[in-house]
Amino acid sequence: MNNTCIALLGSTRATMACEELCLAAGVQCAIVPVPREITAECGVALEAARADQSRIQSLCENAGFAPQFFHRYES
Amino acid sequence: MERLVDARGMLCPKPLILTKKALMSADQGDTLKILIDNETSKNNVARFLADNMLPPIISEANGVFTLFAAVKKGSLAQPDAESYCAVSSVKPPVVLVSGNTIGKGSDELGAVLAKGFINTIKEVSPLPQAVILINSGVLLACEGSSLIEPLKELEAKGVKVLCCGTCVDFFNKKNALRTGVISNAYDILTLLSQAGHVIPL
Repeated sequence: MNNTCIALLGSTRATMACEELCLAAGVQCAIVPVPREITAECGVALEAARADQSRIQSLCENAGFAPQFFHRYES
Repeated sequence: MERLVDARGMLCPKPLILTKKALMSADQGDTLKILIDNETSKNNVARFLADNMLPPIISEANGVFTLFAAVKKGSLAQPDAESYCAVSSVKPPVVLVSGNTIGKGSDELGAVLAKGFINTIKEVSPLPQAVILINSGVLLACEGSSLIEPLKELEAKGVKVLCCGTCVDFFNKKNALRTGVISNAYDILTLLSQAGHVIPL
């Protein structure tokens, strides 16, 4: 995936739940380690196409999660 | 006296062998002049000389490296010139995935870790030469897995994805395999034994 968005959900379980929500809604996403540029701590995040960011945001927020988004650019 | 080693057009370990030969036949006070036209061989010969207390002076012109070293008589501290051939020592690793979850404790967490780790293999440098899936690890390459695309992406980058045939058969997933090739114990063990190192997941 080029030019993706990374969604931080704050916990592993929240990430798992949001992945399930997104896939069920047909939004492609992948569980990835939180990029080192964001935090040195171990954790997982969701990575998806940037075009899907707003859909992911509303799916997560409707379920009571508050995702934080970062953008990843690949040359 | 200047002794010339013309190793242009030669790849390792030839320049190393010629350099050692010239050193053995040189006299105290002689100068060794070595011509090499590739960077890897230049670096290997320079390391060999430096480790034998003969640090060379290196210049470069038109793609040809010239290494000068003043010969001191005596036995070589590191006589095994061929071991300096970097080409043979660099072997990419092999990733061995022995289940569809990673680690012990929670399978729920293990499944998340499998996704996180396998999605990240493509960013590792050097890339592994192969990812081997055994036992329930083969399920990661079968229909319904979210890791089919990342595994395909690795294959497109030249990484072999090998699925244990016995395991695919055991889980009755032959028709559900969506990426990787079915392999056998001989090929898998050969790959593992020849790998630079094995990364078990």
